[in-house]
Amino acid sequence: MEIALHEKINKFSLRSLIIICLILLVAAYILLKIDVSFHQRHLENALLRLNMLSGVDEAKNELEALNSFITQARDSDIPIGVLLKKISNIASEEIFFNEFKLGPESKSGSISGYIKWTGVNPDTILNKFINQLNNSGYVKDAAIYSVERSSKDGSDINTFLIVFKLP
Amino acid sequence: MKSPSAQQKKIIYITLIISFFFFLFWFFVYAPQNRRLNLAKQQLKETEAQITEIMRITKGRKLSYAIRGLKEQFQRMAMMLPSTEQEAAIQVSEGARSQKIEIKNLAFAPKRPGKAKIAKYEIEELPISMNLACEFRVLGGYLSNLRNSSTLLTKVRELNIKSNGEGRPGLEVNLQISVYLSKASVASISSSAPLSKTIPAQVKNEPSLKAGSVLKQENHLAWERCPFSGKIYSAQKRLKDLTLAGIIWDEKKPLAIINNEIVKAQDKINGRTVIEIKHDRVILNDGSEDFELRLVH
Repeated sequence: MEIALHEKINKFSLRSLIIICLILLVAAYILLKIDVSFHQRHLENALLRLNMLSGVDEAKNELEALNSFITQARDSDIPIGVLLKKISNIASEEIFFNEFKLGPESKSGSISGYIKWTGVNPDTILNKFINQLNNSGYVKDAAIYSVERSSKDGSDINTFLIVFKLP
Repeated sequence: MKSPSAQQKKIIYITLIISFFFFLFWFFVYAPQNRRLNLAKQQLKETEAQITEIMRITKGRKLSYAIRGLKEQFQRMAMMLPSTEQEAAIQVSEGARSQKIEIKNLAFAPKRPGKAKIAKYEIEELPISMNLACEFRVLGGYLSNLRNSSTLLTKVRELNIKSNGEGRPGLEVNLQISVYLSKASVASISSSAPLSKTIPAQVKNEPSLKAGSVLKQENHLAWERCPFSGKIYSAQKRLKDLTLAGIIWDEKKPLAIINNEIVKAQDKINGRTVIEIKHDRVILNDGSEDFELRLVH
């Protein structure tokens, strides 16, 4: 009698355990499903709204692309006007240019000219000019390529060729 | 060791079966659903961020106004990209003429294929070669204007300046530039469909996006000296070797004392010509322009 009751209790407990577990699993599944469908619905709504607003986004992207292209083109162009102005400031009164070449595509340039004798050593004048040119920030690696000394109308003339690179 | 009773075995089997079902549920049902849920949450977050960003651009205006405003900004900026060689040539040469630069020759080379495509417009490069005659300072001003122009986008490809000799301010310049063109005429769209007539004031007044470099303040140095002709631009430097010590005033024949020399109109001193003597100053010319020398008190 006692054994039969014990078995009954065990059977009942095991059945209820299985049922509780199944209920838990189903409940978890349903809750998860509800959560997923809730978020899916939200996402669909948001995507629909985004689609409606995509005209603004497209126009904004086009504007930004054009702006970035113009900025890039401007920034890649060397400010030659400013470079010439800088040269007008640093070329001392003894220095005269014959030719000035600038190749932004080849990133190089050259200056040929001469130095009038005014009592100051031409090498000092030229070195000072080259230092200032290098320090200007618009030009780099400026160096004397050649210097020739000659005499014209009784005064010494130093012709020079300076080569430089563009940053 | 005592072997488990039949009852205990039964409990163990049932527990194992339940665990197995839990594992199946977790692996085949819960985990995939959870992944879907996380993905949906992430997409939702991104989409909402995009919506917020777009709403920020529209600034609470009607969608159509916002789009029109952006398109107007685009077209305003696209005006920098002419569509034809003629348009580009007119702008380049007008800029030169406005600075009194003589254009001796202007030639186009074949267009270079575009590197960029923006919206439905293909950007092309039009190489232009120009032979100019101008002064050093004027050339610098022209090149700066070209670079900062709001109606043209250019880049200098090559520059060659030749002197006409010491004391001669005119230079021979060969300038090779590239002008950016838009293959489909952006500019003509805006001219054929004047948006300004239809755009509400709210949109029109919106500040436009500007190219970063346009906003950059360039070096504000003063022009000092032309390194080709030797001409001094700076008034202070130009007058530093001249001192006006006095003026002997006579209405018909005034005289001036410059560098301890007495000079009259049309006389030359240190390479400058005396143009006119006034009661408090003298007008001189250095071969290219007039300048004043005032009495030192």
